[in-house]
Amino acid sequence: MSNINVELLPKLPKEVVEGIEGFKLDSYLIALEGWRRGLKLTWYKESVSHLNLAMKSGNMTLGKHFSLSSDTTTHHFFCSRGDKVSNEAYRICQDKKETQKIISDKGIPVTGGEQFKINDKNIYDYSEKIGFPVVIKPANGTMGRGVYTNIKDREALGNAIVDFKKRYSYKEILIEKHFFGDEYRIYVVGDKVIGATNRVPANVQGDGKHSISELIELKNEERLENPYLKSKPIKVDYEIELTLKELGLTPDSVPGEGETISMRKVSNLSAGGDPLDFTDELTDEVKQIAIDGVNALPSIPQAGIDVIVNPEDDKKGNILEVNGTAEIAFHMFPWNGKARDVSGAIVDYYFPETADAERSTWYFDYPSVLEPLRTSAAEEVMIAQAPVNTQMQARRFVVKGKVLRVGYMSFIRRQALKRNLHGYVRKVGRNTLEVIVSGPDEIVLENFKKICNRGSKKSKVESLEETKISVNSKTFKLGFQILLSNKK
Amino acid sequence: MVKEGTLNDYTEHNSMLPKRAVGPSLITYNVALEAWRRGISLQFYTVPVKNRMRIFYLLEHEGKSYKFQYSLGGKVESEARKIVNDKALTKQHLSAAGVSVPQGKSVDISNGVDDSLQYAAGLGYPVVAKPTDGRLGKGVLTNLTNENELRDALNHLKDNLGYTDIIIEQYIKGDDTRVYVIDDKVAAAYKRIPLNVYGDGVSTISELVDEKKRVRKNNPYAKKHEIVINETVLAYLDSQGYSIDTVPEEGQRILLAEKTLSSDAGEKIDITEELSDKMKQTAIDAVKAVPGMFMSGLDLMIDHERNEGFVLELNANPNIAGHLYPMEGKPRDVHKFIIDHYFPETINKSLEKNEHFVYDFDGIIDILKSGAVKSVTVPPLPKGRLKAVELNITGGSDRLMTWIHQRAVTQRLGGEVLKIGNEEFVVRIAGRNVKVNDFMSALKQRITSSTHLKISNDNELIGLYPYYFKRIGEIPVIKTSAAYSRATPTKEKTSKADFKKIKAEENKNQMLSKELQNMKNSKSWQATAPLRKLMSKVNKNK
Repeated sequence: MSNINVELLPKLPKEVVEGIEGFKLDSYLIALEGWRRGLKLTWYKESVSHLNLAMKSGNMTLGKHFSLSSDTTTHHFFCSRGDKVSNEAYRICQDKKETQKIISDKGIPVTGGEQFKINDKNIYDYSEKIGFPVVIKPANGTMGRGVYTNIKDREALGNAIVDFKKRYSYKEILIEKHFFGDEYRIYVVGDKVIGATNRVPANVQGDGKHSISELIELKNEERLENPYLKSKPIKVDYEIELTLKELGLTPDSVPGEGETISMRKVSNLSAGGDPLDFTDELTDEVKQIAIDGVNALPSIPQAGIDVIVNPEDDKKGNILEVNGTAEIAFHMFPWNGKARDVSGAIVDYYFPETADAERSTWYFDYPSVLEPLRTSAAEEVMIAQAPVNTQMQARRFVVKGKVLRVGYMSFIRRQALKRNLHGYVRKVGRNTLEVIVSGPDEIVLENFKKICNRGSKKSKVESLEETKISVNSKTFKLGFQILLSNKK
Repeated sequence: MVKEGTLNDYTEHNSMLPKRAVGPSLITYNVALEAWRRGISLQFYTVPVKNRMRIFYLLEHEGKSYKFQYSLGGKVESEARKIVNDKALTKQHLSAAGVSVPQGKSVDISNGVDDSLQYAAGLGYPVVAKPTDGRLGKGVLTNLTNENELRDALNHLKDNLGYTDIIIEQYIKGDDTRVYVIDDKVAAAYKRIPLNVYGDGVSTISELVDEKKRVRKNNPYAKKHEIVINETVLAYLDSQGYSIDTVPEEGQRILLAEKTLSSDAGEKIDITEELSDKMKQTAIDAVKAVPGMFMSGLDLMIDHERNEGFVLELNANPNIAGHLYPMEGKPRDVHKFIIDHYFPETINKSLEKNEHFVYDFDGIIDILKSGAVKSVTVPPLPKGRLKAVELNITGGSDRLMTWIHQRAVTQRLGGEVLKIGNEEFVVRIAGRNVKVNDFMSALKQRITSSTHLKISNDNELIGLYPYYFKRIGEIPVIKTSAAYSRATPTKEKTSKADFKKIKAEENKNQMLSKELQNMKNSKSWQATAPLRKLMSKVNKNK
């Protein structure tokens, strides 16, 4: 039951993003893209002095601050936010109210709303004024936390405020009119919309056979196949149980075929929501609203803008907020539709001269290059240059003999690294190893073959069969690894 | 003056060296460490040289930056290096400058050896044959006493080693000496002698060899080459009339091998102060003879009887480890002189407090060798007022240890947290006053009533602190140690009794204990300030 409705980017096969999550994934995707185009990539330890990019205090910045350099320019990034986004713009975006004011002053439609202190009695009158239903959200919240939607009357408002105060410590909230209609996260770079995603709350689709909990399990298995959603399974918690109860259901209920059960009120992806690609479906008019909105702010050429599209007229929409450090990964790994190359668009913007550069398809082990930064052994780490396949050759050897448990694999690994050869070795059968190796120089590869044949002190190679393989037949990783047999 | 025959014991210093600081990397480690401690920016990076990944490092300070490999910095022009790497060219320059060199010339043996044999006959045996561009003593064949030996040598060089450009020169008998000259001064000098033992009138050759083996194992430089008492050694002893049970007289030096060979199996004895003025001048003149060469390690064959010295060759990237870790005699800080030369503004500005820190050489080398990383910049040492704290924690969870590690890294503190038992940790931290105090307040707030902190030091910097915060599992051995000097004072030869003590201690797993206190106070560990260094063998992968 695999999800066949999605078209992912071929340049990002699973192994390239294995084990990387959250904001680090955003950094990595942009860094990788720039690096693959031949730019120099450097990672920084947190709290480095020349980090003049604004950040929320207390952020663990490991793996999030990096720079890309050409021969002439260097640009620093923090997660998806590059240094062309001014600190002022970033600051404004933190304040939803201020953001909306600047945008609406330019005649661009916003969702409006007022900011109040959580205990302010005027909240009720204001809600009446703008008209129920309304929405409560924290003035400086993130990740959909503390958002209460579709509050229908004063009583519901009172309950919501009580619950809010119980769960959250935010002192400042926004009261907005609840706009019906789908909400889209639109990613703009320069004056173009690169991707538009509809985030829907955690949901399952019935098949008449499986219970809701079983459907959740099945969906989570599918979500594991998506590098972004892998770390965001649907978890059955109080909110899901409550929502199901309201629908007259329990986790054991069996929905009918084709029946979609939405299990949460808020759509954020970390709670198991689905990012759906709607880039082609969104109207040009709504896209323009997003572009104009972000351009109304001072110096913010890349951002994620939240827009609610009018359900009665899809050419109309209202801007909710602008996100200065927006996640890009879900645009690049949607649940369905087409993946959008946001990282490519960002690097195009910062380094337009690389738009036509030859691209490497290689990648590097991101967690291990961060290790010296994590322990503080290093202040900065620069990655070795990305190999370009037109300049590389590859070989495959199948080695048989006494080559296991005799230090053979470590031996050839050392020999490969000394010669700046990349690839891996792994066990493929009893007394049989497969070696895949790549390098720019034919002679060096020949020598390496001889070394593999000769073996280490305690090994005894009985046969070595070589096949020339195309370097394009695999996605290579920098370095030479000893792999466990089941991995690729 | 140190008594001859006294062996330098580098056990302490050696135990504190990173694993990867062996062979030529030992030089890299020491030079870079000195620079880093003086506040010079340090960055390690890889360069592919002839399809091999080599590690270089960049030193930058006050607008100046130099690329280094081992002890050679970018200021030495490639012209100078070219001359020095060609023994024939070197000889020409030296002769032209009036520096005494063995008489000889370079020959081409690709078309046969007859001309060479004729030349040698005219020169007079014994002679030396060596390739003009050989390195590390490879292919140097000395003391060839007749035509047959020379013919064999030349054929070997051509057929087995592939050399055709050879220098044939007179063989000078004398002390094989390496002199390090920098800025027209002799900074250090040692003589190379073959493997040997120095008698004490009591121990047999066998016992003396055992002691020598133990000392060599702890010599950061010599430890690479193990002594083996094999047939050759026994035969050589026999030829001198000795056996391994012979008890040499006090002060009697007995050689175990005939040749030193320039690769490091021999032993180095520092003779910086014994070098005569004439020899010093010869060395200085030799380096001056190569334009653009302001520092060099050169090989001088010294005939002491006639007070004559002959320059054999110069090296642009000499192995200075022999000066830093001589088997006998005073260690010389050549690495410091090198930094003095490149960054004169840092002379005499070294801060004692910085001597307490080391950087993560192992971690850095490993990541550079992994193939994924091009360069690594080392964090600079903290400035201003520094302090250190040492505490013992009981009733602390592994989560607390993780918290301590993360916090220390964020606060830019150096040091380590070590688990020494179930829920028991030792924490040593050092850094800026403010940061250390912040850390301590945060720690006190973080712990619960079931966790106890016992502060055993609050202020002084004691011992070495990794400046990259280290986290270590169980520790096997704890030792006291002399500060950061390399060798323990050589005022007296370490007695057998002390050796036994050291061995016993090494074999046991000791915890902070009374025995440790005794060690601290005992005379054989003459420390200027009592210190504790916790040895780790582990598993940097958490």
